[in-house]
Amino acid sequence: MGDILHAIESSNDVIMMVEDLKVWFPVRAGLISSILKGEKIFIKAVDGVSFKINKGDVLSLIGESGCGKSTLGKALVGLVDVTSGRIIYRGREITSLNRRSILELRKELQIIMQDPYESLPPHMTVFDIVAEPLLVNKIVSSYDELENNVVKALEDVGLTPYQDFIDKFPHQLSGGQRQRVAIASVLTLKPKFVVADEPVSMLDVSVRAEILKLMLRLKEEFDLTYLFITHDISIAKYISNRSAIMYLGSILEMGDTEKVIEEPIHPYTKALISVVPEFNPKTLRKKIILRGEVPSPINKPHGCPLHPRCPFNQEICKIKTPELRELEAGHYVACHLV
Amino acid sequence: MLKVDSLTIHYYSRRGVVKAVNDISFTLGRGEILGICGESGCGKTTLGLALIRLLPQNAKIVSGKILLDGRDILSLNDYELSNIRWNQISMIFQGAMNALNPVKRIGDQLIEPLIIHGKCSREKAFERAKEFLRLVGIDPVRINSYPHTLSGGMRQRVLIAMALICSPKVVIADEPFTALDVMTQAQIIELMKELREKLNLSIILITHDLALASELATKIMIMYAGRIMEYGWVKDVCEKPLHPYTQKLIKAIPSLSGRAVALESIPGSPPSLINMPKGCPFNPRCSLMLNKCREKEPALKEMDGRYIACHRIQ
Repeated sequence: MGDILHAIESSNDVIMMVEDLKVWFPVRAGLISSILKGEKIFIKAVDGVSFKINKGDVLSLIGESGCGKSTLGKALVGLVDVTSGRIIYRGREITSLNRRSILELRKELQIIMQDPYESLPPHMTVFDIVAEPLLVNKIVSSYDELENNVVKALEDVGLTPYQDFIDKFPHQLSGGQRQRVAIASVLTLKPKFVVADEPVSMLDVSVRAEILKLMLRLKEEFDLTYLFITHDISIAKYISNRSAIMYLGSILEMGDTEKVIEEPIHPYTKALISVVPEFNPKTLRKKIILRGEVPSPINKPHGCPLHPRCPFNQEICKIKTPELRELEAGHYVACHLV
Repeated sequence: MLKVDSLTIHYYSRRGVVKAVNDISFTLGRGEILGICGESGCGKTTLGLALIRLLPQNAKIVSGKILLDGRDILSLNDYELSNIRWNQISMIFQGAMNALNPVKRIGDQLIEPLIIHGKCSREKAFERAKEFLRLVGIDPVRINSYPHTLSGGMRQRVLIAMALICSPKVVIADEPFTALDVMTQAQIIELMKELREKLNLSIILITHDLALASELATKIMIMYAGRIMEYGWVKDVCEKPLHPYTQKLIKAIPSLSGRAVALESIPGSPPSLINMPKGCPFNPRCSLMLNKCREKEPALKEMDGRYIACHRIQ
């Protein structure tokens, strides 16, 4: 373990490293059944995930709802308790830190939530919302400094002139403007690593592009690294250089976004990409539709999580869980058949 | 089948008259799927609700006609209307999670329209409900399940089964895919295509997702600020969009095929439906604006089998 930590510390590129991370939520079972069966039941939201993110990367985490992508994102910024495994941020293992150090680190680890209609407190003005992180973390020493910081953050996210926005309440803003306010409040803390949990899925198509562009611009300006959680592969293609495909708490394929989308290897990735509605009728792909539904993360199938729905499933898939293997440089796949 | 003739709908609110739908006309033939697309607040849901006369009380149909097989839906009394609803025209509602009654079994909810319309006995109705569950790909043994035990995709399938159970000719589907995953979405798209062929159904698909509409629909109508901007066959509208708004909307859609191209957003936001800008409603956001656009609203003109409202099109 010491070796790994040392290796990470000495390499400047890796900002976040995750090793065999598990986040299980206990399910409250009836008293009698827990006595009779004698075992606890868990929702295995994240079930043994390992990956690393280099500094300056945008890693897209792609998956259907309930695959554990949001839980994983929250775990990385310390918002959910980890069951086992390790999260190493810039050489420090945050899973073993005490509360005080985590609070200190959390300034650098921030999250942008999905729904700007719900994530902003309706009774606070834009000024209060953006100022709050600065006050809570006691970053500013005077009111002038506070105001300067807030104004700067608003200008950074393109809410200009700031006078038009600073005294407004969230309900007076459009969806795109609300998401900008949410991003501004995150920026005030000068984060290094930002988890963006479906930041554009609630927005109209016509404003999505501006928010994505803004995020890319801020990444360059402030040297950010993003974990971008999305169910929409075409958005992943636009924003990220690396992509990971998640299914039932596991990563099935991970690699450079272009590779993963153009030459997917895992059957699940292939199917997922084939069903994305394509606008241009000329480029229609042959659809691979997986039958049935995603199994419950409480009763995960034995072996490969995909095997009950996989068109290529073999005997071995039912017995053994495939490991995530590096097939080509930087391209990882978890499948017995490749 | 269905003919809508210069339909105009206003909402009366405290802040003024909201002109939600303005002078909209279209026809829907047997077995056709019309995709109505636009940003939120463009009036597409209002239009859908009007077709089945479910508008809220503060809405008023100011003018226009809705003809279903030659009968004007707007002139029907409540009794005649309830005969037509679900029997001839039905609706798949937005949000599969909330549209079902959580305290009733899905079987009881499915047979409700059959019983209310006095179509058959309870036992026969249950038989038919099972048949329709099978049709939409749900195991009929689940007929006694409560909605919360079903997944989002299955609930959406139940809603589709319910909309079809009285064999209507026209189904209005209002954002039937939001809240569904891509894989489930693909399953439902396939199902709707299949049902359209099997039952020769006409479908009105209301959605904000142009890519999705282009896969399922035969005709596309692009709405903006309560007006039709462009309307025609999918192939024409999607491959060669002529209206600047359609062109911008398409450029804002990220595509998976080919190289990543820069996405373009449409600057500004849709106009307030209370204080409409003078001239073309899209003029404040349009990059191809002419002087004329600020003065006069363009009329919907026909051109090679499609309709466009733009001064640039001669």
